[in-house]
Amino acid sequence: MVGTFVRLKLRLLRNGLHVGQGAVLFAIGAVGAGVLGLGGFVTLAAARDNATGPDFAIVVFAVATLGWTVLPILGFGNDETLDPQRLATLPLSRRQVVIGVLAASMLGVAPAATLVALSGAFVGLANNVPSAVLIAIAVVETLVLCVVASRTLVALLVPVLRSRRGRDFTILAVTLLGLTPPLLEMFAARGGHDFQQVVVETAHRVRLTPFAWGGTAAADAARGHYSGAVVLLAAVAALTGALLWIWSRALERALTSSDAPATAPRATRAGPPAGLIPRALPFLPRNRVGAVAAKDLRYFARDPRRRAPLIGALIVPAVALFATLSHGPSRPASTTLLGLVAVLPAAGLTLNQFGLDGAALWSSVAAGNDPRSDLIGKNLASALVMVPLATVAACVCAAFTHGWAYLPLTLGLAPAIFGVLLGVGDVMSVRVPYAMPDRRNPLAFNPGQGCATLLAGFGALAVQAALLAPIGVLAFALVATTPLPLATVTTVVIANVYGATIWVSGRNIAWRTVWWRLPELLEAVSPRRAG
Amino acid sequence: MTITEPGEAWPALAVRGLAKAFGPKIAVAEINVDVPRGSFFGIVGPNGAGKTTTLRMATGLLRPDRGQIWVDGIDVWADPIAAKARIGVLPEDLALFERLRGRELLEFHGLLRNMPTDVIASRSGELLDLLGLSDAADALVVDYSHGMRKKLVLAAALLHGPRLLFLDEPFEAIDPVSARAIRSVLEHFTSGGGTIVFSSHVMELVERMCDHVAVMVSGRIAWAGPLDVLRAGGTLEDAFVAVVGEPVERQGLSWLEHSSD
Repeated sequence: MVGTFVRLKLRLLRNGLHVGQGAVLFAIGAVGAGVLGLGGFVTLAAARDNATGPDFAIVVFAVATLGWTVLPILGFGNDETLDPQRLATLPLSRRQVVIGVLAASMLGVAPAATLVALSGAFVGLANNVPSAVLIAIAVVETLVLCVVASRTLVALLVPVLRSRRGRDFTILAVTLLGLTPPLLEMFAARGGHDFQQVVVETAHRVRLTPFAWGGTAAADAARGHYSGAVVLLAAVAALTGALLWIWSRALERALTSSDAPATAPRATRAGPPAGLIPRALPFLPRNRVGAVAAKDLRYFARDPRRRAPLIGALIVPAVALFATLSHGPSRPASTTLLGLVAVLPAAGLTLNQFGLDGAALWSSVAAGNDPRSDLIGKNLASALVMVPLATVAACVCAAFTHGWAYLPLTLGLAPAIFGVLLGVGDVMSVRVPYAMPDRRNPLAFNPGQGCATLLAGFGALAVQAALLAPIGVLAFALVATTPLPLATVTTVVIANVYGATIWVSGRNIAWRTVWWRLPELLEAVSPRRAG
Repeated sequence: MTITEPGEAWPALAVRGLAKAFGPKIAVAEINVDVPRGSFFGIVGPNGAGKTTTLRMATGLLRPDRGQIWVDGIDVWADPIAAKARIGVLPEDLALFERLRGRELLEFHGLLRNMPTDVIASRSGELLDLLGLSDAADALVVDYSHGMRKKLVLAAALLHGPRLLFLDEPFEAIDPVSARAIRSVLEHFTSGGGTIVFSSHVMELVERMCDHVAVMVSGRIAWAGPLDVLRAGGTLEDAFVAVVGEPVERQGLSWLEHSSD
């Protein structure tokens, strides 16, 4: 039975490679995992003659275990190919399923990379026969613990992850995860500790948490504390056993419960029904433009894929602000203007405005050809989102640097910048429309949309940057050479005329492109169905 | 076609030489159909016969390779705005703006067609009541069941008072209660002079509801006309098999007969 599962997994891996895009994805994943695995290996192996080597082992083991536990919840490497639910109709005992799925889970890029990384401890720490044996056991036990822990958590969380709110949370979490590196960098820059010191401190903090038991056992073995190592290895084995037991119970429930929990939809609030157009925005016209704008605004509030950039919009300027404040003297002018970067995450969404609608765009197409209203409505919604963001961010930046004098200039430039971004975004949205990934899986990759779309996206960003550059040059040149009020008025007027021109031309180019091509646009943004 | 002026003299839907291929696969091969005004017109055929492709081309969602389609004498692809104002669509895949609430989605559809808000509100209320969706009207569409989605799209398709309704598999995966609600709304629509074109692979349903049928096989119309003429006293299924041809005689499977051990 184990052999069957293992062959199934190998067959699935191989078949995945045969699909063109799958091979590319596999290669990207393999390179990423290989870098991490080799990085871990080299870190540990290189610590051989280093007194802090065991501390490095504790941290690497803990990071590996923590990663295996947390990442599958966020949808990373969630091995759906061996979803136990697909085995529900087969006459298999729970034991057979547990052992089979476990054996198959041990195959793959991620387990291999983990094994490589952990093996570094063997090279770097083993100094005699007993320590070598104990470290080898620690490596194997930790790898098994990683796989079992991730499987158990996923099985326990299946009901949550399958619900809409669970999926929404996952999408949001994954998007925000992408913003953590700059934040970490920021804190690292402010801390100013040296790397080894950080590792030693971390090791002392985490050494007795379950995540680090395997690493601590290896460290103890390397330092000659064999009894401590044996106790910890027994603890890892016991923990793995307990997780296996929990997993098999959860598996049984997953095998016998229904796929989609049928919860009756309910209204989320009482009172008289509100309309599509928000009461707070009574100026939105009661026509097609207003309908599209209101729909998009509702989506900014309710769709996690659009909400995430908005949260990012608050984080990005905060990072920029702290980075500026922590390096060198305060520069009120440039820092206040920096508030405008708040719009960039939301502006990214304007490059594929119809792609965000997806197959639901049929309703606009079926209602009659009027893509200009759709574009204006979408641009209006984007502007209504970006204006408050830019205002808040600019005010915060001004408050920190006492740059209030530059606030009128910043806020006056904002519409011009939106105009440029939206003008390019409109053309891009109809020239290179593409389907967004299926929202059920936050990391789903849409086959057929590869490098070409990506390159076009970068191209559009470059065009946006090139068109924004004159505004930047003008603003800085005038602020540097003329009195501020004069510079403000002149810059704002010129920039807004320029921005409006680009927006109107972009929108008109887009409209002429799409006027007779709505069915083709619909086809381009509809996700391809599986099968 | 000898008639040149749009209007009453035209059939509700006229299709001439309509063709569409996806790569090497011919989905629809030069079909001709007339749908009489006020008729309940069923397109029957196995999966993959080209029913959905035909309906998507007739509603302006998919561009045909060749051929013409007239709704009330208006060429759908030459004057799409006028043609689309007269039709309502229930597509097969039910992709919706599902982060809107049910009532908001109807308002969205109404505003897309530039209807006044008070008319949208009163008509949505009526349709939601009639289709049993009033309780869920203020819930997000993403939480709707399949049947509820179908009823909501039907409401959206009827909102602007179309003359011609295109329904792609309206009763697929629908519970009997919802099916009854949909059927009564559709009967109401045809009794008011509206025309319905709908596709299905369930013969019994077509037999019970339609007065005209077109049998579609491999992208071609194998037969089209009044249901009674095709049926000629027998069942639609028998007539369908007679038109399409008997499936291959089954061989083997003898072990299934005593598989109880």
